[in-house]
Amino acid sequence: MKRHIDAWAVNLSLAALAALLFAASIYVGRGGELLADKFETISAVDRDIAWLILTEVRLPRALLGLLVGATLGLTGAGLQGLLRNPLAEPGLIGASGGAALGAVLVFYSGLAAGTAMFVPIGGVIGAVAALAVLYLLAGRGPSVVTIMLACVAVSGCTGALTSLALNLSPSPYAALEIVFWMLGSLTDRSMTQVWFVLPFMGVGWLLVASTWRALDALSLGEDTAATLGFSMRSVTARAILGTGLAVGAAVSVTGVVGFVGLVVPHLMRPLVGQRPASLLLPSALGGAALVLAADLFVRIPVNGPELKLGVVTSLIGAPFFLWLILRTRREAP
Amino acid sequence: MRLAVENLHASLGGARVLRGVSLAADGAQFVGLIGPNGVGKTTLVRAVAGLIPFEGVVTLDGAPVSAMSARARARAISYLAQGEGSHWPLEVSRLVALGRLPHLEPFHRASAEDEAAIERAISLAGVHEFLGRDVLTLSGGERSRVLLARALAVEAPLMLVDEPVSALDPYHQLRIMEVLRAYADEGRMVVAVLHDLTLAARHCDRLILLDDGKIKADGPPADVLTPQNLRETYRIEALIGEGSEPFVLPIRRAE
Amino acid sequence: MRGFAVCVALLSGLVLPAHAEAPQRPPERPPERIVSINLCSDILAADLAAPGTLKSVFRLGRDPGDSPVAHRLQHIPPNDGRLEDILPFAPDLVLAHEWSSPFTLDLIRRIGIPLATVKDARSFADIRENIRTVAAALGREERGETVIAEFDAAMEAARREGEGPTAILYQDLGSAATPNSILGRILSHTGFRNVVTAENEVGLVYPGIEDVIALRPELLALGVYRPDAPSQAKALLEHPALRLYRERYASEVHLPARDWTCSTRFVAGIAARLAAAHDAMTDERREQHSLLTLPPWEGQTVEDGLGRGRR
Repeated sequence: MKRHIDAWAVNLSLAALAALLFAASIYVGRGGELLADKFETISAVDRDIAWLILTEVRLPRALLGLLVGATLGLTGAGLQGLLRNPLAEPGLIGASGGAALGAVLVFYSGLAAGTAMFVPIGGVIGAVAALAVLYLLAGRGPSVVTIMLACVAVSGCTGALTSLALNLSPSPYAALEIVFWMLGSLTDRSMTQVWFVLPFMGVGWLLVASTWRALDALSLGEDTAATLGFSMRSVTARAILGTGLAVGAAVSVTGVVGFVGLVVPHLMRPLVGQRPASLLLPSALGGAALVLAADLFVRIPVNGPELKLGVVTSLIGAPFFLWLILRTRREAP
Repeated sequence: MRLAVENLHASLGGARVLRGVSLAADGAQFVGLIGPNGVGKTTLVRAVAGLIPFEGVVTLDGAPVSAMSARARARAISYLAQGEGSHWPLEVSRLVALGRLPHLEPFHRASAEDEAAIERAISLAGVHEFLGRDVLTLSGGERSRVLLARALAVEAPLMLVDEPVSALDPYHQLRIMEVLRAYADEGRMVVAVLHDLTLAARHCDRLILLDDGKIKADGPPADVLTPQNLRETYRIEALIGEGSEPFVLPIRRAE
Repeated sequence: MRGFAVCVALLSGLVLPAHAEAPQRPPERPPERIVSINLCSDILAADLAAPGTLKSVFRLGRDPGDSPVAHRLQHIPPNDGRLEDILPFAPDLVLAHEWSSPFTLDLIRRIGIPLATVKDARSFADIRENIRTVAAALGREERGETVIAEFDAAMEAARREGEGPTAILYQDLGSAATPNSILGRILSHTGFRNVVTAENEVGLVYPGIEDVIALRPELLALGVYRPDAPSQAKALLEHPALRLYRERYASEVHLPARDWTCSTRFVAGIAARLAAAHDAMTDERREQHSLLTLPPWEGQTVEDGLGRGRR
């Protein structure tokens, strides 16, 4: 079976790429400064401090890049399979916006003072709610127009509500914090946050991955998938809940990182023969690689604040999205 | 294999579409389901496939289909939807292989038996030449055969096919009908919704004529396709050729 | 500093910076109906205005989280900095900031209401100049000189000489004060060596947590704005790496933002806190010098109450 070897080759190379970028994310600092320089000093205190930087600053950042990227890639591929639409993506369809809204409500209402664990929970609830609304609006009619209109409605609504919540919050930096939530970033996150999001993401990934064969069957439509032995209700519920869990947790820690879930599955599709099921793993790995690479890119400027990760991914993703729309229009006039 | 439908009622969007349909079919046969637009042919097929809620009982070998697990039902009944198509530019071989999904164990790859079934479906539908191609680049006739091969690959004892030949040229219509005929001849039951009465008369073992949510006539083609039945259900006058080369040629509307 | 002023400006919907302008010639009679539409001018007016003449202040001026004089302004009606808020008070003097909305300032000028603007103070001289500007506009020059003298005395008391410990002044939002900012000047005034050496127009650089630690400051002076309100900006200061570094290697002092959001005479309070931290650290250094050759200030922080307890 030549195809399986191909699939393995694709997955292995992507895993190697992600691992390489993960290592680079730990090793390369602001403006390309290398970690080894930090360890070169002789004093024991300096070495302790270098170790502190490694374990408490760079490791969580790289880990979150890996986790968030994998989440976005995987859920993007899952949503595209579920909705049978190449334009579906957690950010575009409003799941990320819903997650930001949920996290913002929890964070600024002071609930998070009890335990910071509530913030990811708020994000998860927001993401699942946004996805459920979207599915009710457009789930059964996979026409591009319906879905995109529903997405505009959901995204616009969550964005406005998030801004409103921030404006009404007692936060001194309302205007600036909107930027934090709307344009994600991995800068200066901590291991605590990694541990918080990991269980949500783990469960979310498993739920999305559990739909893999159903996603293949869905290539031929919901009726055919149902007569191939898949309960559409269960498949939809798992895909939406899984996406909500993983994306909600991701957004609650990093803010919205857009377009990764759109670009990555699309790049992977030709490599795996277009099958939605075999798209999941490469998309997760590719997503991790893309986010890690973008996060390396934001470290280039030495002066001034770092670029926002969401800015970089959107700069890559938005033109790609336009090209995709043009192509979709050409193919299906 | 015995399919039994007893007193089936079903509604679509609040309107009663099927009003007490009962039928029974045994063993290998090719059943044509005919009737004018909107009498409930598709609804009947979808009810049997378990896609819509219904009242009444549908059994396969005595077991009610509504009580079967989705997987068991998927192995017993394969279904080819009207106008089915692929949403992704899948390779033909991968698309046909989707028919084996009901048979795959979780976390297992396709077995040798699955590969053999796929091979049989491919040769039965005659789609060998398209295997490496993207399904979206095929012509309408070629694509219907590929999708039919997918449904064949399930190798279910009952195959439900909804309007498999609409919008095809005569050559491809005949080809599809021959494939369905061959599948039935292998010892399985095929129920096909058909609009072309000549094709139905020539290829089917049995025709079921639906009218207004009920069975109007049920039997061999020659018994069902009578001038009176056609006038009362289809509201047409037709030229009916009998014998070894039967045909039904609609001439004018009946007033 | 300026970042903070920008934040405040953003909060009030005022974004476009305007150029400083000379205060209008004081009228013959001192103004009796004064309206201030900016936090910084509120603080100056609270010190300088004759009792009963200040008719309205900007809403942040009454907010204890932002204003060091909030308790003195509670009885004065607030405004939102819009012309419609100002006019009902029939002011004979409006106090504003050079960064107040240029549209509002232009309207005030066209209506003919006398206007005085304070500037963004980046040096001790700027602070004195702002006091003189407002005092002159109010016709209270003498009071102005008294406030300046008090300020100078407080600053003199906080002066520390010599090659002191290294320090960084790190604020929520991840910015650090450069030597040419007002906070940078206070750092060196109180005898610290700022580990941030870059200077720029804004007076802020943005080192990541990693860079802050790598700079090895012996003192982390944390600018904290509204410690009770949840914000992502503040969450940054709670980062485990920064906390561990503070616990193990550095002293820590909290500098409440309301004392320095506007550079007014209240920055003397910041100087006093830093001077106290300086004294505590040099004492410990002297004690430990006989015991240790390297000075990682392990497990030792400036005595409690320097910043944590107070708001």
